Amino acid sequence: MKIEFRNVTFYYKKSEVVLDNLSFTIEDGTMTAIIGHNGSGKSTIAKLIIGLLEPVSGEIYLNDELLTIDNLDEMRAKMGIIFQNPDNQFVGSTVKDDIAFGLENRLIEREEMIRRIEKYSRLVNMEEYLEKNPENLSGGQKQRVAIAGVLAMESDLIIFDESTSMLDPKGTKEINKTIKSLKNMNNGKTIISITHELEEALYADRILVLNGGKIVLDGSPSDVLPKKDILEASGLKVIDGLSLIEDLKKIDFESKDVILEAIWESIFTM
Amino acid sequence: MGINFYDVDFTYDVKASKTLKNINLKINKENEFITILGHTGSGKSTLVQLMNALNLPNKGVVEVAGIKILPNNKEMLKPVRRHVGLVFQFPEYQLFEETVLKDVMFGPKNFDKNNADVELSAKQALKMVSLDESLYERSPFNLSGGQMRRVAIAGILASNPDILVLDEPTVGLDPKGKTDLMEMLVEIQKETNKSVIIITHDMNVVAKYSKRCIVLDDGKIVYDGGKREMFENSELLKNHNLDLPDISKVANSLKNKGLITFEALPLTKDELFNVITRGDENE
Ligand SMILES: Nc1ncnc2c1ncn2[C@@H]1O[C@H](COP(=O)(O)OP(=O)(O)OP(=O)(O)O)[C@@H](O)[C@H]1O
Ligand SMILES: Nc1ncnc2c1ncn2[C@@H]1O[C@H](COP(=O)(O)OP(=O)(O)OP(=O)(O)O)[C@@H](O)[C@H]1O
Ligand SMILES: [Mg+2]
Ligand SMILES: [Mg+2]
Repeated sequence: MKIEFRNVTFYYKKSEVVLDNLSFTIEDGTMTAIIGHNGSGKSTIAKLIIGLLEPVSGEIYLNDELLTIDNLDEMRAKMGIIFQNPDNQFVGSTVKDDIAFGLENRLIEREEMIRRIEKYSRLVNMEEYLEKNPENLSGGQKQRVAIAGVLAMESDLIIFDESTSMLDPKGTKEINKTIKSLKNMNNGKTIISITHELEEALYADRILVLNGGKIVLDGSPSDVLPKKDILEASGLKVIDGLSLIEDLKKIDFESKDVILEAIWESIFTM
Repeated sequence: MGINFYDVDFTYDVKASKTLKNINLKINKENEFITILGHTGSGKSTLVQLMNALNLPNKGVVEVAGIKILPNNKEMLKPVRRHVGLVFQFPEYQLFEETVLKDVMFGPKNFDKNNADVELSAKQALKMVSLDESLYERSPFNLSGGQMRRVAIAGILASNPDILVLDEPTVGLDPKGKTDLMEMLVEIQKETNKSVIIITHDMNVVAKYSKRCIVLDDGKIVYDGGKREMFENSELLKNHNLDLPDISKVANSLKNKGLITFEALPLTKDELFNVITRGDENE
């Protein structure tokens, strides 16, 4: 799904502008990471895209069609979002009902529904918890269930709002792989990943950095992540590996170029 | 003093299998910097909720500040929670007042200080987590995720317990906020010797800050020791869904290419820096 923001301004309170005349386009079938300091407006952008919030001024186009109250339901049926707090997501009293609820909403037939519940609960390793109440799960288990529920809808656009932040390292790797495979399918999904883990943003085709209601950096991971000055001015940091390269550049040592090149490579081919 | 577990079992549902099994643990009141690690659902949050009597053991004894935690003993709650302050995994569960400032004041007020002091320590705590003053009068529920996390952490800091326990405190914080929080905890320990216990999945945090790692797997403690020994045990990492810090992965890839050699695996940026530049001096 193609997404376009045209001069979008948004605030919750007039005196505190969150998004300031923001314009950008996300192409169909791509994976974009949005990063920015706490309160920079990442979740707000997500809520605007799914029509939970409305721009104060400016327009949002989805697949080149202006998003309005009239086509909101139709558009929403093509989008899925995993909210920052999985508890805001759960509606069912069992994991199974919870995944089913979204599918029922989309008028998926019963047999297909059962197939998907099985497939996606297995994909996130929660197939043994189908009869449990999502409220009584551990933090990481809740995130897994929330992810399964949204993946099961097989939407064109999927927004992940810090949705792997509580998984163990192995789980994070597995989910990231799954996300990547979604994008690489033939009718590739469009993925937006909001994250504070810059190592995770490495998986994206493109990174947008938000600060002061504007996009201050926009490019591939290897373009954006080394931009120390702008990242720091935006309340962010460079990752350890890149900051090591910075430190090493300042001094002389044996086979310097080869080592710097090898560090760079090991970061961007993880 | 401190926290002691003697043969503790815990279960949420007596019909299901135990959530924690035969836990024995001794945590000193002073100068511990413990990271609790382990796979999703291994029992980490359950364990720390036993440390301040939010969960009660089904078997065995938990002792906090010399007090045995027993069912139906309301009197013990105050001294126990005075000793051990806990920040929840989901900050939303901790927030409930009308405004941010009132929320942070709730903890210290509970330990009956006079009102002027309470407001002062609340404001100090909010400064420590770098929450903008313009947000003090806002409802804590109209904040971004990371801002809520900061308020929840400030609530514990303001109460000034002897031991700080934080359940995945860096989740939701931006990269600078994460570093600032960790450095602040180090600073607090330097000044007051308070023990700090955090649950985390972030191996970079473990590499930089942990003095002692406790690894849980399926309700059992499977490792309790130093981080270096843990990170050098690749079987252990693999068996319990753990991983190396990012810098160690870089170090291994340089080693595999024959560019550097080392005995002890570098865990942090500074350590790898030294390995790379020391190689030069030896030539
Ligand atoms: N319901 C609300 N009412 C008023 N202000 C709000 C509300 N929700 C968010 N805000 C404010 O809008 C700004 C942007 O919030 P948003 O949740 O989009 O940030 P974010 O980039 O997702 O941050 P985080 O990394 O902490 O999740 C913040 O300053 C926040 O305090
Ligand atoms: N309130 C509850 N009622 C019933 N079972 C629960 C409850 N809370 C947790 N559990 C179960 O107990 C086990 C341990 O959960 P706990 O929250 O302690 O895990 P954790 O190690 O903190 O995991 P995570 O890293 O995902 O947060 C899990 O299998 C979970 O499903
Ligand atoms: Mg957010
Ligand atoms: Mg937990």
